[in-house]
Amino acid sequence: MDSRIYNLMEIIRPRVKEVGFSFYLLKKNKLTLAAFYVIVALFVLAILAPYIVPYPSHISDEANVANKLLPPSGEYLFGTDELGRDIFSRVIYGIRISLTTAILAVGLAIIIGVPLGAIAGTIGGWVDEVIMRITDIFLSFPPLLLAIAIVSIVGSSLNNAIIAIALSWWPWYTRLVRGQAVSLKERKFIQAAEAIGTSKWKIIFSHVVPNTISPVIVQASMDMGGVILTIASLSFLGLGAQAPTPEWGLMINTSRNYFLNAWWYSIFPGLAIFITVLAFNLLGDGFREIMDPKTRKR
Amino acid sequence: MLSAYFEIRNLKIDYKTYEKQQNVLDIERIAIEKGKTYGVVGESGSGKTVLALAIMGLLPCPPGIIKSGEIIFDGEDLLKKNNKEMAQKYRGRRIAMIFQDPMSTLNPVFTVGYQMMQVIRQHQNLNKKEAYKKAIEMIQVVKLPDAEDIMKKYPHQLSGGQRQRIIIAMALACGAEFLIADEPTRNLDVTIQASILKLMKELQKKFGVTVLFIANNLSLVSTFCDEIAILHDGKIAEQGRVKDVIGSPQNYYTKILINSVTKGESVVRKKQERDEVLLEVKSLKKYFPVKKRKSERLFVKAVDDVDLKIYKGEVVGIVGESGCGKSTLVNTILNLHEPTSGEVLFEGKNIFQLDKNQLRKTRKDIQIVFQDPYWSLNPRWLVKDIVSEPIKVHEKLNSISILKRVEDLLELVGLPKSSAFKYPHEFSGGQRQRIAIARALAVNPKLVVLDEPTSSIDVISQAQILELLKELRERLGLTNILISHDLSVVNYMADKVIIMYLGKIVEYGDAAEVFKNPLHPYTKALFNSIPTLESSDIESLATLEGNVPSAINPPSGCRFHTRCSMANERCSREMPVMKEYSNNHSTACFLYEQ
Repeated sequence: MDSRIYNLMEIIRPRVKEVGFSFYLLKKNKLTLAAFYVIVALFVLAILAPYIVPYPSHISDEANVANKLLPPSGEYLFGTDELGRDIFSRVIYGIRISLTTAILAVGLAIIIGVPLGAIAGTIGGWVDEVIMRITDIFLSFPPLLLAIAIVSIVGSSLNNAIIAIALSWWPWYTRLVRGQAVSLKERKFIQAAEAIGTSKWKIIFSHVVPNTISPVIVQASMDMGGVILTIASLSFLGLGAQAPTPEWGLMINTSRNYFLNAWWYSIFPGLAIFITVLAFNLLGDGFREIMDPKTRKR
Repeated sequence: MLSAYFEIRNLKIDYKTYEKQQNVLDIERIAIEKGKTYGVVGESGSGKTVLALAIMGLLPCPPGIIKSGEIIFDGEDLLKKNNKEMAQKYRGRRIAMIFQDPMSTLNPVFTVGYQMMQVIRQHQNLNKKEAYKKAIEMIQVVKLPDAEDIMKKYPHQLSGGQRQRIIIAMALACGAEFLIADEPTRNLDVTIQASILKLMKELQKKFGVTVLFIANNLSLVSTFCDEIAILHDGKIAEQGRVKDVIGSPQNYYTKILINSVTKGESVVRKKQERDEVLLEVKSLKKYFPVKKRKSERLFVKAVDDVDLKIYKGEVVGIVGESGCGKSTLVNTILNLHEPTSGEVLFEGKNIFQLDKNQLRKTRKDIQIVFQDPYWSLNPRWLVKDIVSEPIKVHEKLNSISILKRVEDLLELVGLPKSSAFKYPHEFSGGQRQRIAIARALAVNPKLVVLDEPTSSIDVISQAQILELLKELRERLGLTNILISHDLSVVNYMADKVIIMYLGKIVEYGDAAEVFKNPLHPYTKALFNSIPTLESSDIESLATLEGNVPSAINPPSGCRFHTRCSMANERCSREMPVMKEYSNNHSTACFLYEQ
């Protein structure tokens, strides 16, 4: 047991310092910091939604026609919809749906895209050609259009929308990671691994992939906004979430019929989309700065 | 007090970082007389570049904070000038800077001529025609042939040496009287370096320019300058006339610096019986295809017909300028790429004809330590994973015994055991190189290739790393191939030396013999073009005319004949072959044929 006991503090302190440094960089950029707090708040709200919303039962299609289309008041903060349900409760629940779907869609895109990009960039040659040409084909469709096409083939549901979005988003990660991998290949530690005799797969997944994490995280946080917007768009078109799910896009779609006499119905879900997407975009920008090795150099 | 032409007084510069505000520069006094050359020597991180930027008024603030001090140039305090005044009256006009990488100063999308004319017209009231004439004149002043032709070229079409000449021409064209040269020859070959320095010296006399020369190479600065200052951790450790500082150093750090340059030669040159050949290279060729021109295919002949033998327990140094093929040769030996033709026999087996299993076994026996420990270690891995990578590939061991091995290896290279759970960025350059050495030794290799093992770490660590390598070699009976452009390192470490030029070996022999009595004209030029502490002035250095010819279309006959002062008509016709002239000392040159 002699040599196994290390000076723990000596190992932990630099890590703590590193995290502290990241926060220091985060704090320097006020806008990023604000976005960071907004997103933390969104996650907290999403997790605690069932316990904090005033009318948890209003997320189903429970109708309470007597209270329909009431303007915002102390009782109903954001007013009510055509079935008399509390819009505030539904918007808060909507955070849950938007965040989970976005995380799943982006996660799936990363799972597909990153390994493909790493393989293409590291191995090169015809493998690279094939993967990148397929990527190009996917990239030649606007992502929303491709997602619409996929959903119309497999049927409209939230799950299918997630899959469709992942399928139209992965090529961006493939491209990003391939570019990284190509430049990483010139790094000496990859050559060292080759000289040692490490296998190609091991090089790809334990040397190349971990070193592409930073740009992928930046891209992912930027994409979160875009994906939330796309999910809302699909739902708005009736291709994503189905009633009575409290999905923002779906809510805006329904609200169109009442737009002239119930402004609150479309404004609040719209604001929710706006704030969430903006926060993720700002955070992505900030992340890029924080993870940039040029900024990190002290 | 009457101030000198250029004077720095009590300059204190801080840098504000996440953790603290740190003093990066604290200079009491530097005074330079008009027309003199002042050298500042310091390692990376010693504050050299901060000094240069502060003088130019280009120091980014924040994070930089100029706390106090004066930079007096011709009676005016530059620190009191605002940015506009600096740009209009001083920067580029009276004070010019030469950077280490000329490519970063030249814009790649404009021709050299256009850029020169732009700069000239910006600072002088000339019309296009006059500016053109002036540019041509300046190109001739810096001794580039075919000035008109050069004007039409883009920066990438020029060689590094030519580009640096253009930068010098630009600086002088605007009538700069004070030149700051920040490692102007760092990326150049030694033979080119000597000629650039000679040019700078000559122009300095001609135009009466004052030069502040900044570099990390003590011998270079001491050869070039009248006075020097040794910069260490932002403070001047010692300053004065070159002779005084080098001759009788007072400061502890100066002594170390001087010691590191004069390593002396290898003491433990073994005269062992040379029967066991470990590695044999037979007529190895490695051509890289370049773009096809019509039907004809072109190749870069990076390694062309190389033969060599390495015996067990030897340290063989490979010396040559960049582009001579030394890295390609080593990468081919490591089987990182396929040769065009030829054989590499390791313990008698051709490594290019091994099956997968045998190849893996050979990989275990040949390991490499790369030049730059900042790039050769995966930044996302813990040291224990880095060092154990070869163990995991080649041996089946459980994690506890692997960790034990890693700790032993770390102790072997002089690092504490607790390093195992740290990341590479927590270590200094020298320590990182130790980690790289530990990784190379992890599976008890028979041959370790050292690719410029000390060229990117600071001098103090350099000496320690060389000491370590020497010790390990004796303890473990390693065979080494050492690639280096630093002749003192080769002289210190190697038993045998190979001199390469343009893909070919030109000289080969026992290190002591080659260093004492170089035969090939190229070897002589190479040895004499490197400034040492003993070289009295820049004129004593040898230079080679012209550029290294293209490896796509190498000169006929002896490849060196285009730049060789001893060449005759036969050299351009016939290719000389390697012949042994004295005991274990061979060269490929007609001069020594009886």
